[in-house]
Amino acid sequence: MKEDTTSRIHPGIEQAQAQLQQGRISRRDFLRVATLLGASLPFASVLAACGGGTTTTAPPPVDPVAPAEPAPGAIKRGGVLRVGIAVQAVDHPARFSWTESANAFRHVFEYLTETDENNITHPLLLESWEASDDLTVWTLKLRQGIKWTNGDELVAEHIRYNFGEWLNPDVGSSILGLWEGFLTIDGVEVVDDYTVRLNLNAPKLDVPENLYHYPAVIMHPSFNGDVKTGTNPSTGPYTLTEYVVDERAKFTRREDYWQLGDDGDPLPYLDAVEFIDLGTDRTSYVAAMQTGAIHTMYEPNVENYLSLRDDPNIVVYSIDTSQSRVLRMRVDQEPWSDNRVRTALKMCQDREQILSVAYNNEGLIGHDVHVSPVQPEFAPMDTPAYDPEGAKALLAEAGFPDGLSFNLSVGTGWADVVAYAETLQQDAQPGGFNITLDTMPNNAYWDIWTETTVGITPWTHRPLAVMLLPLAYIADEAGNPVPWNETRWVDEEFSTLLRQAQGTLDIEARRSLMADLQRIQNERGPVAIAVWQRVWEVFNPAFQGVVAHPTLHNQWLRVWYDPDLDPRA
Amino acid sequence: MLKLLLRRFLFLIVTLFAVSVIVFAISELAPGDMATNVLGNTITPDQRASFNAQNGLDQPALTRYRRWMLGSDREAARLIGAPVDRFYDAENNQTGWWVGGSEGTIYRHRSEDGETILQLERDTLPDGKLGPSRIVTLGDEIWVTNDEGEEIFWGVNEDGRAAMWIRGLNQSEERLTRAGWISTAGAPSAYIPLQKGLLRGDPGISLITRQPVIETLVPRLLNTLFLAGIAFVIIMPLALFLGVIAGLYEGRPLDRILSVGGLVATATPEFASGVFLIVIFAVWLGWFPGAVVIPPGTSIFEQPQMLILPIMTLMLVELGYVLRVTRASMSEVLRTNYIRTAVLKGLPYWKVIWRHALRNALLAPITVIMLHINWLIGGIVVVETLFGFPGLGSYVLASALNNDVFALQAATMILVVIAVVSQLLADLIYVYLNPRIRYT
Amino acid sequence: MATAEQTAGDQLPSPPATSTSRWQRLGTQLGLFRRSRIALVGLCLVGFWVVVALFADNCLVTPACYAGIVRGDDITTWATSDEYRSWLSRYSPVEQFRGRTREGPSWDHWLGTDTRGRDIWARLAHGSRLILTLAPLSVMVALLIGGTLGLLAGYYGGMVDEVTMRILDAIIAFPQILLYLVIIASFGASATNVLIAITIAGAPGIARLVRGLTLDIKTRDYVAAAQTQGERSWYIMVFEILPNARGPIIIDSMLRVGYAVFSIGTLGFLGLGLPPPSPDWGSIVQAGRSSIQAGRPWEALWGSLAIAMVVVGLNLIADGMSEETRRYR
Repeated sequence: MKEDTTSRIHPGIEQAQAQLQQGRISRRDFLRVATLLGASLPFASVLAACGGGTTTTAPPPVDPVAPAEPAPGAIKRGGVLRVGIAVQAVDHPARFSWTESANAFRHVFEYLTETDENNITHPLLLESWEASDDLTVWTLKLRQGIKWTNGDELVAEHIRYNFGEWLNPDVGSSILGLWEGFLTIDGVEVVDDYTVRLNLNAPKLDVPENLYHYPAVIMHPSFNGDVKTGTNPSTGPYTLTEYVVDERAKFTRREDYWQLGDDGDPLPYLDAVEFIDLGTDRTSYVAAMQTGAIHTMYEPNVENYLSLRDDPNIVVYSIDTSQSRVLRMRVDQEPWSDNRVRTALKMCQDREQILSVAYNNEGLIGHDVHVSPVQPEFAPMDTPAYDPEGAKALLAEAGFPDGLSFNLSVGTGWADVVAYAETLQQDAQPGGFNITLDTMPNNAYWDIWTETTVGITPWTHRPLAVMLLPLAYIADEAGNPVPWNETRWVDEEFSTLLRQAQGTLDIEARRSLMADLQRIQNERGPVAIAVWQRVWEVFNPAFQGVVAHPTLHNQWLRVWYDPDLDPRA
Repeated sequence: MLKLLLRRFLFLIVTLFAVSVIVFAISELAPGDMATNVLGNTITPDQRASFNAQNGLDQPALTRYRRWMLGSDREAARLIGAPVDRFYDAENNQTGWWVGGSEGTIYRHRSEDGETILQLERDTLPDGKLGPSRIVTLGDEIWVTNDEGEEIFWGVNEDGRAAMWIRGLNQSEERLTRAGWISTAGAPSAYIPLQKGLLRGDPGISLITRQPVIETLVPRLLNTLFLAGIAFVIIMPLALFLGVIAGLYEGRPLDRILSVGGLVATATPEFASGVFLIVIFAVWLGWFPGAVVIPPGTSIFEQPQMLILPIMTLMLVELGYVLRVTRASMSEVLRTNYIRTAVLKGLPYWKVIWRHALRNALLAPITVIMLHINWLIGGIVVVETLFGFPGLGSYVLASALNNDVFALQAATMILVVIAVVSQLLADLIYVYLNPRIRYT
Repeated sequence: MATAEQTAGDQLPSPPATSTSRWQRLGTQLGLFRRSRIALVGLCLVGFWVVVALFADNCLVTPACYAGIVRGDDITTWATSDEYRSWLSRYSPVEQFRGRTREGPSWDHWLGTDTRGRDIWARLAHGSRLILTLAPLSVMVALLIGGTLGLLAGYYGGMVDEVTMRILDAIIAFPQILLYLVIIASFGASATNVLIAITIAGAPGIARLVRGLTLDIKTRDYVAAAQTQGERSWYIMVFEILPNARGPIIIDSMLRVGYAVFSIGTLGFLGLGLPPPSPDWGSIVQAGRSSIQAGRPWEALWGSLAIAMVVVGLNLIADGMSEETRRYR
């Protein structure tokens, strides 16, 4: 990655550098802000080194610059990676609503930016970005010389085309929620062939991260509307050679990909990646892993992890995330409109027990706030206590002295959701809640996830809390809850503070805003979050250079296959 | 004999007709609105109305049943005044309906204001591909006055549905395109979703994948027939053989082991025995693959070793039943007077068994085997799910769980046809083997 | 088999004497288990679970509570109410024991614990109650419907017979699992819908059997006698034909209950069974499958063992009965 060090350094970076020097923020926080504002990672590391401070408030001690790269000589080329994962029916990438779909097509199409496993965002198709001091004008510089498979060069006009798709309400992309209130298509300005300027209506901090929202792959303007057809021009390292919904897909190496490997030739190292759909039953995937028929599987759950972790032929990589099973209550429906009822239910979560039963103690405790301790802006909170007596009293106060019976919608395909629900069902009994589980297949749950009164919705990881909160807890300009606001919870104070946080660069200032946001959501919010999940990558040890990503986003671009290490070979 | 055959065949037709009505009726009676089931209940009433009209769901049940069975293309062709057919567009990897015959130019229509009709034309090229499209504005002469005095035009719209525009009626509708819901003006007033009908091999479009059901169904069916065929060929002779052995040694230890073992295996659900088999043979011993993994570019036919555990699982469940029936039949035959007489007459024991007993003893089990195909199908749904096998059984289950009504109906009908035809075969074999019926 | 004279005796208003004879006859029937060893084994297998089902908790005394358990709605009350605990199962099927998840058999938990730290024996015991209620109940309803249809079709013949049997043939033509899938996918998974599906799938087979028996018995002298006496048709069907057909029907029903147990388990496996935390056996096996892969076979093992025991048991009893009938033929 080349970086023009003479380019202007964002004042926010200098400010953060000062904070780093004073030891008020961690090195990791600093790197995040610096890269977010357009400094490349190596450059930011230099700045950090200038700051030099050891950290006192360090979250997990991970060194983000530590490269997981081996000596170049070790890399071998060739090999096919076989992945056990659902091969889903999809059409327009902007409307992906599953990580599985995105994982398939990120092999073929690329994002403007890329967020790594440490939640730090780098430019990808972009060469760099720059933000104005007030964070309302973002200038995106495209990397030059990237060729589509049809021979066209990637230019700024193509980026504008994609913004047009994302921001078009008719397309119905979840990306729209990220930009709602900040950007319209008129604000997307093509400056020259390689420069796009985003003129925002309000300050926004997480622009680079949003460019890596999983449906936001860059398509050629000639996109035919169906991503499953292999004929669409693409920029990515692989091309799609086969895609059979519910069965399999194959991605074959492209010879002239623009990124080079450590051995000086174009990436990727692997010849092909194959996706195998073994149905919805996870035990089939585990059996295929145990017998070596597939090399890795998507999203092993805790039972799968326990089945595979002691297998000598499998290596496991793990990472904590901001992914969670969110118990959400619709505040526009009785009796959940009463905050006392919601609070009472939250008090009935025995978090330790849920973590132990549903996750075998693998994960972090949640605080009924959709901000995870792994996210940089998380303001530390006390763990809410399990208090069924208090819950009972509160329920009585809310007009339910004899307790409350309700249905909880649960998708049975998620074993941990069922475990959570069953544990809650029991732990909430002394609190006066009589919970009936309304169970359904996962697909059926996704049909009603925004509609059901009380349900447990899986939410995936986001690197920043300010990226997630606007998706689910605000209203649009017309005052209607945004499409993914499944609880219809719109809180004046919360929305204002959130808007402020989205435009606040100073980490301490933002964290103090977050402390308020978290307090509000904890006190009167619509969700109960007991646990933050840990995720695992399970792999055949012959595949080198694997890194667990908290969103399980994986392109395996720099993964290579060493046949000597393959226990099955 | 011929009369009997005809009669059985007639029964088969009547049964299948009744089955199709039952399948149709159950989905019909299911609570909830199909549009909501499929698209989620975030859709607006306008979107629901448009979806229902476009997919013909607003039509009376009888009409929908007729179209489902017999197709709607002829009816549409009559209204349009020209043939309609399916054409494959290689560029978009899509098969769709157009106006036009097998050769020459094909047409689709669109209107932006309900007043002028634009005609989309493409040439069919000799290599089977479609030429570039051009747009032609049609003149006034296309409008036809109907009984109500409206000027109407029937054509095929861009989504490949037969559609009727009323002149001057510029209404808007919601269309679920590949790019999501779009509100368009100049919408048609009536639709006929085009399909050839189940009887002509086209059960409609899957509501989930938006691809013709038949495209998924055929390869899945072949996979399943492959699995079931091999299973059948291995399991049934084995079951008959073991059953005969058990029958010959009735009451002795060998018989006890076989019949009790068969019973226990049959009584253990395949979803449990399958997992135990996987753990023992795939994980511990590492002899066979534990899941059916078919890499892209290959087919199951090239990798029969994938089928070992699924077939063993099916065998455990299916074997016992046939074994027990054969055993009972054998022991009964052995007790009959003519066998005793034959043995007492001094004929060699094995000759008696081979010449006389076996034929009569197999009569009952063979019928049972054919009737047992219904059971085999049940086992196959479970086994396919268990091993991730891409067959019809797992397709049926997935369609059922996803509310993919058309796919479920089609797959169910195919499996029922297989079951019914095998029952007919059972009847015929029985007739053939049983002289008493054959000569009456 | 019962003779015509005995059947006639049933029609008399029951003086005390008949009541003793009834006991005697019950005694003769129970004699089956003395005479047939396999029937006795079957009885032991099934009887074990019947006893377990009866005494899984102390709920037996209150029918309301029992009904609630079958419906599944009172399930959470088991967790807290000590009064329900019986000598047979010390724990409730939904009670989670902290730190005792995924254990093998031990003195505290005879069969081990599941992934939630629940006692597997308690779940099996309460599951037996669900299974042994749902399965016979669905067969009984199917018997009622199928029996009536078969009786009518067989007795009247002609068009009634033709039409009824054609419709029923269509249902028989369905592989049962498809019928379950179509019905339960359309109407949702619940105890009631499972019951309905099994009933619909089972009734036609029973109708066919009863029709065949009716056709046979119709030709007997005592039916003709009753007809000439001017007895009404329903009377002949219910009091002359039905009692004489009961032997094969009972044997058939035994097997059907077995298949129903099996089917409920399969539905649970396919995700169409009773909703969690229901302790029905199919769900227990389903939940235990992933544990097998992690080297803890207990849950799936016990669950499938329980299903196999009941199905084998019922099969053996049916075997014993049919052997018995053959012997006296």
